[in-house]
Amino acid sequence: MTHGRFAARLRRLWPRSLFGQFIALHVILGIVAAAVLSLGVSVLLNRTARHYQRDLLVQQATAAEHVLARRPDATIVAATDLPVSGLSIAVLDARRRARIVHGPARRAIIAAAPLTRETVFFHRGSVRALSRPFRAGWIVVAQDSDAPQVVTDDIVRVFLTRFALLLLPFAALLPLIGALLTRRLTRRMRTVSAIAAGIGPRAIDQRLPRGTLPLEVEPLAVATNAALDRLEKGFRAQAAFAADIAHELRTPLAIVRLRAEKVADEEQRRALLDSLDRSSRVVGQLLGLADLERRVEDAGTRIDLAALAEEVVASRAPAILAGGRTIALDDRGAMPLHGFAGPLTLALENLVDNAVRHTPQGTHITVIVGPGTRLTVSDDGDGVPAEQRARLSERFFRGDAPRTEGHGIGLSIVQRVAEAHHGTLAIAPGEDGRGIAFTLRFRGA
Amino acid sequence: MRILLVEDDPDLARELADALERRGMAVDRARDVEEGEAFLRAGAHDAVLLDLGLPDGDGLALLRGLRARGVTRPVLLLTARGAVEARIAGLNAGADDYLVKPFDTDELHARILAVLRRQGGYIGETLGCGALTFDIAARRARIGETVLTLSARETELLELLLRRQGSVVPKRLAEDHLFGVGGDLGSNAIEVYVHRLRKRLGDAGGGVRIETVRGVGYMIAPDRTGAPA
Repeated sequence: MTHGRFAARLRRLWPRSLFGQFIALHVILGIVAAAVLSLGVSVLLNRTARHYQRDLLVQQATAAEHVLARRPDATIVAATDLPVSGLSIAVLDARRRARIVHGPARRAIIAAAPLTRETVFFHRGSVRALSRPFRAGWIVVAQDSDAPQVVTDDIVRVFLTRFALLLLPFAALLPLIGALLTRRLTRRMRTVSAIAAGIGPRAIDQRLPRGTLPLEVEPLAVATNAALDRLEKGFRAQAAFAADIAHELRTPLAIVRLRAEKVADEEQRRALLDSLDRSSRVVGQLLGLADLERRVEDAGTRIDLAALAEEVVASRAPAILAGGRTIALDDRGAMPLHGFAGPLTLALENLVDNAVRHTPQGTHITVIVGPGTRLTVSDDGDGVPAEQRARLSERFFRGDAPRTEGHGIGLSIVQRVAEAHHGTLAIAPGEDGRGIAFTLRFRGA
Repeated sequence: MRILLVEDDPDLARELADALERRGMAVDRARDVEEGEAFLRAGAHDAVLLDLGLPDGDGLALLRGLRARGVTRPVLLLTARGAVEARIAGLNAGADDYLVKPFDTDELHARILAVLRRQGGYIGETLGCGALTFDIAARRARIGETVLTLSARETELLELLLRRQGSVVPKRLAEDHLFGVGGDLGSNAIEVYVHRLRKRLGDAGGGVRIETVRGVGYMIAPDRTGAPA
């Protein structure tokens, strides 16, 4: 249970990013390597030093035996100048009494000496000692490692600290190098991600670059590109299909319209023609939409917004005037714009037609170009309540196609045209607070 | 008036010919480019209605060939494409006007007449609008039995508006037409003439009005109350 919770916490702490994992692993590796290396070296060194010390003790014992063998009554049995080297030699009789003590008298050592039938090494504090049977008693040789002349321990200590100091930068450098490497790697992935982020209905032919990503990640790019190829194919087929359908529908619609015109009953004829006009409008919008989808590869041209608006107003004016409304063009300092003439015309036509469809007779419709690259269609009709207007705007904001409330696909076409030009469509009350105004804002040329 | 209709859909061709014949036009029907060419070589048509998608070739090719041979006969395109590019391509190839299917026969009729008038290829004796008639040769306008007394420029303006009936006459075009290209006048000179002409029409009994499309131009139309819908 506790173990499980610990594992879970560890998993939470474990970074999800490759970069983080790489660094974490390196840090752990560095710590473990430093610890193992230090430990190993210290054990090895200490063992070597101890071995060396034991040799020394054995040599002294042997030397003492030699001296005693030649002169059994000798009092000086050491080979070296004892007081300086911290060495002491004691010769004990069978009852543990010191017969000869040479060097510092170490009672504790003599008391602790195991005195067995074999050579035994032992130690008390910093004093290392040997006891070995000699004739009826023992020889005990002791060496204080802390004596100033004994350097083996110092060497070991100094070496180990230096070694640790040397090891530390390596342990630190390892994660750093790893970090730099990973950073390079992730930067390339991020570059490719930025390209991927730009792929959409407006840039459907964009693909991820080959040969940029690390070899291990390349298959992901290849597979993504293949998926995009399939999507693009489907997307284009759909656009072409919509265009074909719309196109094919127009001739039969024309025939039906001609036949409807011959209907004698005035009321029935009017109703028939109205329905036909509505169908024709939808077909036209469908075609316009498909046309817009196909246009994504084009670079666009410089558009004279005022001239474009004048053309649309002039073309729509006869029908609008005949319907009992008026239309006017107001140039408030229009600036040229980089874009697509066809879709922009379609968008403006849709906004104007929308205004006509949703206002009563006697409404004044104004197309305002400028200031700058703004395009507004404003009317002084009944307008739309603020709440509904907000809902309409929100739907644009979310990118959903507004299909309800009688706006048809007209406004979604306008919205898509705005998007294709990196522009926005805003809905507000009309001029003087009456009616409604749709404003397209574009970036300047 | 004789119209050549080049349209491959037999139903549409029959219905359209029928509709135009009811409006007093004689219609010859060609089913494809080849037949169309044959009719055109025989000549004698005042205008051509050309469908863009034909079984043996593009209507645009036929049009280009026609214009390349120097034939200036008015050509109206009937297109199911409707994409702006297709329309522009049609006009660039030498079409005088275009209509997107499906169309209103009255509008088609008006456009044919307008193209003919603009070209001068077909000029009837009179131009009319609602109760107003304009005798082109005599340059005299009348509403019912009342003859309007108009100045030379007022007459020019009225004729221009009548010749382009059904569409907005841009202000610039009217200015160029009345005062010559590049004539530097006050910007409201044309408004003065429009104002006067409106007054004369009103004095003579109305039935016809000059609409202002502010920011664009003017348009003549029958009075809504006086004319049938």
